[in-house]
Amino acid sequence: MLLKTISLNNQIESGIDRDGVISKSGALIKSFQPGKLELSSADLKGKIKDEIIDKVLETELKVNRGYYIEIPRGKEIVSPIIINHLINHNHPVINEKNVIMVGKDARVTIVFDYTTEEGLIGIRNGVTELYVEDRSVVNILKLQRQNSLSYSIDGNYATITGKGKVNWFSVELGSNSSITSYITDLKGEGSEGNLSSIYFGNGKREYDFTYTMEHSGPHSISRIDSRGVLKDQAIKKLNGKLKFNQGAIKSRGSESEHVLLLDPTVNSTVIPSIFCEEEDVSGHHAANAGKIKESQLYYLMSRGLSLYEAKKILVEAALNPLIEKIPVDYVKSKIAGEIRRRLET
Amino acid sequence: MGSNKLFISEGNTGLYDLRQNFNYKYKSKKGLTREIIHEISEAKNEPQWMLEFRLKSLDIYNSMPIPDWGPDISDLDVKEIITYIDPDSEKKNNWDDVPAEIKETFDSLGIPRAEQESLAGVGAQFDSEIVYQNIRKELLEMGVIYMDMETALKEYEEVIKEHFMKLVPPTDHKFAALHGAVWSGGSFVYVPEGVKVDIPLQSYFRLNAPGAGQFEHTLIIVDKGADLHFIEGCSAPKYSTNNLHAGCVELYVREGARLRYSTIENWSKNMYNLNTKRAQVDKDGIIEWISGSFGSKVSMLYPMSILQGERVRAEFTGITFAAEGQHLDTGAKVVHAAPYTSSNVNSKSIVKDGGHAFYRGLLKILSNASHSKASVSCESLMLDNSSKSDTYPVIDIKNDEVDFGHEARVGRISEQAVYYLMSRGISEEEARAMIVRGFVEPITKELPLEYAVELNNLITLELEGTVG
Repeated sequence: MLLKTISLNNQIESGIDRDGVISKSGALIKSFQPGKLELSSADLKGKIKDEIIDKVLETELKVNRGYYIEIPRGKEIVSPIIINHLINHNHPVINEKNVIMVGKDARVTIVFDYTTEEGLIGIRNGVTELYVEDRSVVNILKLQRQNSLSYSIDGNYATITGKGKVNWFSVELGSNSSITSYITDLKGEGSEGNLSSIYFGNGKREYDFTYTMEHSGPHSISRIDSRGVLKDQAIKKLNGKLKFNQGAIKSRGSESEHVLLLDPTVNSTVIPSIFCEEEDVSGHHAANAGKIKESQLYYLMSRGLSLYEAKKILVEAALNPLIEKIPVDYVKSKIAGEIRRRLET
Repeated sequence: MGSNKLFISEGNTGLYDLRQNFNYKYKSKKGLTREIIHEISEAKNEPQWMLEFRLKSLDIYNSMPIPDWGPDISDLDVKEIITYIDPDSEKKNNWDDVPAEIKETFDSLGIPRAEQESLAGVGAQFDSEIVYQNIRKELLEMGVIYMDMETALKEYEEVIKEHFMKLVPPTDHKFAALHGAVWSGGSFVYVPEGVKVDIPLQSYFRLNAPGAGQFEHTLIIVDKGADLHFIEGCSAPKYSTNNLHAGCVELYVREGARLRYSTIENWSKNMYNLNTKRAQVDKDGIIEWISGSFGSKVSMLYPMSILQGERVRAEFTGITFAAEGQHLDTGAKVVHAAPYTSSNVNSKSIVKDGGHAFYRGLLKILSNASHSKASVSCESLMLDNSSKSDTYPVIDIKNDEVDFGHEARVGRISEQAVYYLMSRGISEEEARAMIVRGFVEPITKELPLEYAVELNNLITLELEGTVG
């Protein structure tokens, strides 16, 4: 499977500029120029321990990971570009900066897979900027499966002009604490932004997600779909924001959020908000939360399945509508494997 | 290339939509002094503990900052308030000072002149005193106590002391503290066990008590198994040069009791309406809020229900209508603090002419509130392109045995619906008005007839001139 993809594994450690042109597919991929990230610690106050913010500040926020990716106009890249980042003891704090530029009429799928060395308190601090032009379709998949000691701070920003389309896939399975945002600026007329978010919080994990779809262009469309599972003492905060600016005539935005609560000790906070300045729009969101229905569990068990098997089927059923949409197969199987493992305890 | 910023806050941090660049122009120049508080308390002939309570509240008021979220209230002038409530002040309102629009509205709503003067705070109490006295007789026969707060403080001192500002303590927020220091007027209602009061009680009768409507304190205790419908306010705009309304409503619903609290708030458009309302409901009790917010320049109003006993039910139905120059920040707060509780929040808002309506809600399901059901529905109707309608509901769940659903919608009047009505011979203006009245219907149908009629008239008035 991996042979057919374009894989970039931790190729750039020291931030030295090195041209890497993958000519077969037509994508231009360069390591990112060394520079600095801005860290607004005021924004993270209360969301993450001060010691962790300090550890990040110690690096002086120098970028040490990331790529500049350019998809030329008209290029359709069939195989997904897979970028693996293993946070290891050589660089326990990584400052990742990605810039992705997609020209008109292009198509690409890019996967970011984040893992951490066993037993290491890894901190990933990243910014990904995406610029999509007219009639292009970009799939960005971020699979976060850092170990349960680690921290993940991730800001993702997309600006879409013309009839471009972005499909974000956010799969948050790992880390001790993950603070993630996906902010999409639908500038172009007919631009489209979709976000599918899947998460599984267990143990003492804390998730803090901010999803914003900002409509500026007329006839723009957005959809946020989030499905998650919470177990043990996991905590999750989700701020889903739908913004309609004046001029975004005939735009449509919708948001739906479902969370499955598996233990009475979990904490789920959701803020499905809408900010609207334009009358000729349609904005809608729905949120719900609940536990696995006893009647469904009982039914499956009466068919001979064990409690574990029945739970697994129901949890998978809750997440499947989004898992099915993921355009990269190996990610799907990783998610299924994680669910199995976590339900075993 | 673009920004390197790690985390774009967009002015929002944490849970409560905090604004980053709040301009702290507000300063209490002359300040409320202890002397003025002393004077107020003496003029009312209050017990010592109430004077001490007021003074303590003043200290709390001075030590608290104004909220850094919500509408901009930095223009609020405390000096104006002092001159109003100072018993030594010679200030008296004059009919000639009442703005023309207010007088026009009174006329359009068909309110008699004498009553108009009463509403504008310029005339002596009109007839309502007599009506009020008659109601009191009937109620007394049932054992129901309904009197103004000042009298209640003297006749039922122990009860008042036990409950006064225990549900909304002065430490709750700056304007609760202000209220604690300068409160004046308001109603005290006590419904004994098992008594069902079949006529709605209306606070309208007490409009002219000193400081009435500005800092009134409403305390209602509905004892076990009793039933009461209380209506606050009226749809006619209440005018006052004092532009702050910092009232407080505390509702105690005991086991198995039911309380319906309806409000139509239509303060004149120079007012800052910073009211605090809270209900505490015991086992098997029911609280129903019906709320219509129309007037005022700025409103910060979040009626709160604390469901502290099993099987308590809370219902909130509200409509907010924000027009030119208005910033109405309203919502409902519900806290499920016991198992098998249920709540339903149905909030609607309409905006036009640059008005800004902001729904700010809180739904908290605590860890012991297993088997609770909660649903929230927010609908926003935008009537033109210069207004803003925002929804910011915070839902915090700490128990897995919940059944929770939330839905929100924003949009404009459906063109198809308008076209359909026009094809039936109805003018476009009337068609839009019909649709808006239909939108508001869940609220109007819960009110007594005369209020519903007034509400509909008010809407028609507000919609005049809004065609497309």
